[in-house]
Amino acid sequence: MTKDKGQITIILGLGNPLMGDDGLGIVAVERLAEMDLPDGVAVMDGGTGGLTLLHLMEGARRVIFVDAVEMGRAPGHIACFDLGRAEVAEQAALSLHHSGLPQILALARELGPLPKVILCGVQPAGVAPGMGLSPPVAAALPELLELIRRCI
Amino acid sequence: MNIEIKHLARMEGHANLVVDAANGELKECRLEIVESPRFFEVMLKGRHYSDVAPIAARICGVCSVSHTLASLAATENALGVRVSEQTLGLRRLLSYGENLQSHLLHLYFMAVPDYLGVPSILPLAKTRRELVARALRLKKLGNDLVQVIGGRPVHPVTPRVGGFSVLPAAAALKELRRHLVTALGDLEETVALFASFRVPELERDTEYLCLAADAGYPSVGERIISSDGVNAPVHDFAQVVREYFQPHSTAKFARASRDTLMVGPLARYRNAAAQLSPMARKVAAALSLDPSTRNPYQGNLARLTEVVHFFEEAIHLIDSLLLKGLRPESIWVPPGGGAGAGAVEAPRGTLFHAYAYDEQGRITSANCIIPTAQNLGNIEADLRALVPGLLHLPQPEITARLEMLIRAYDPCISCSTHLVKVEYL
Repeated sequence: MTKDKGQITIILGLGNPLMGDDGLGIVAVERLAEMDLPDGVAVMDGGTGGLTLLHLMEGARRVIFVDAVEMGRAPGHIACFDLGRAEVAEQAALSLHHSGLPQILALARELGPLPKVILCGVQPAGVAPGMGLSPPVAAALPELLELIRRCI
Repeated sequence: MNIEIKHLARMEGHANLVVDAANGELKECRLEIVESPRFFEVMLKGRHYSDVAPIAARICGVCSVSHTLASLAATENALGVRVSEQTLGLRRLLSYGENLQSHLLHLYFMAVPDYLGVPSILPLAKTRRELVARALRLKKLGNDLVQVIGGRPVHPVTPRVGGFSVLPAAAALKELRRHLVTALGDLEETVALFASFRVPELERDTEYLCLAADAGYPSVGERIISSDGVNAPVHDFAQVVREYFQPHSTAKFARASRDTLMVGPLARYRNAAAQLSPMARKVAAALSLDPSTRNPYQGNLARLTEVVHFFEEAIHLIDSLLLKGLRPESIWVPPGGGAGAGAVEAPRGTLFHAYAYDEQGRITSANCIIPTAQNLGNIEADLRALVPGLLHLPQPEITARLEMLIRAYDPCISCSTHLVKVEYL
């Protein structure tokens, strides 16, 4: 987790693995951490850390959030958003049902230049107490990981 | 008045208040603002003891250290595992880190906007940039503490049953200490800021409960005390803190010796002010805080006093750990099962976990009582006591006072109480 200031891409998994598909971001960064990634790429488990994410993003030139995102699509649907664009961030505020991410990004934007922020998300089938991903979300995982690797 | 909260930090809930202004009473008060992790028991059943704390750490992103520490203590007490002074010291340090993270977040991001009359911290990032920068500098030190001891800033990975899987490097502790010392200026400014705020008045007697100050100000511990004379081992917590349901709410409430119970910074301060660090005692005096206080709004002042205490104590604790030198320890977990409870002073108050294990070290039952559940009845009683004295005020002011009262407890969802809709009868 060494950070080379301004030279780095941080992949931040978000979510709660005790809430079914909400654990997607955590499972994704666990898998990514086992893979060969280029230099200058750090993988972190942000969990449900809320405002601590602001500090985790520090020094990054680019941040890729991985999370379950409510998009009104079929479970397992994958999409990436550029959250640097304000109108997309607003849209994301509606769909990121509980991460506090929009507020964190708004504050980060006030405080200084925002790194490039990308959100890679999967439509969850269910976010309810329980461990493990639903079959459609688990099935989407390899494609999601490939997409993130191509983003880097 | 109707308070509705849509989305909470990874938790759903809402609070409904109906104020009957004509008769000067709170007609309805439903604080369904927190869900005790009832799913926890089901999720843990059959799990091996080594898997339990990492699952507990996920219950909450703000209190992941506290859930980890209470969980480990419960497992260790159940299985008869002894931990060393070194482990207890590192766990205290870890707990200070989380308390700093959480307290500073609350003070600057929830309380300061209330007192400065702005809806959130966001406008302050424009108008009071130095204040926001200071808040983030201070909070980062809490993160650093948790990172160095726990292996990462949230959901720690190094604590394990019996001790730590990885010990912090001496160099990292020294660097941490150097950073903690530089915070003193920021702390002074924070104290000056809060000393300038006018804290609303409310006097109501209740029972104040926390872990005993056996080894300094309450943190990790094995005994529960209260202002009503409770003095019991943590093992017996379920007989002391009894949970119950209210017909009007789906949330679990808790009481001890009387109808209402308070846990958290103000309870700890009331019960253990004499154990605070020298600097924290001076800060309490500068904030006009007194151990006989019965004003729940002063929770924020107790929180700030604790911040100063945790900084000062963390520096001393690091010195003492470095002086003795950290040594890898062999950890022995006796075979067989058992039942036990563990507790820790989490940012919002005393957190209990209790487990039973079978002969293979697999969980057969689990229980967890969170601080906010213990405070719920007290918040309701405070709100009822508060309303009659507020009726001369304009309605927006009444709403603000009620919200500030709820927030003074820093309930898990305090960040969301800004999203409030109001209706009066």
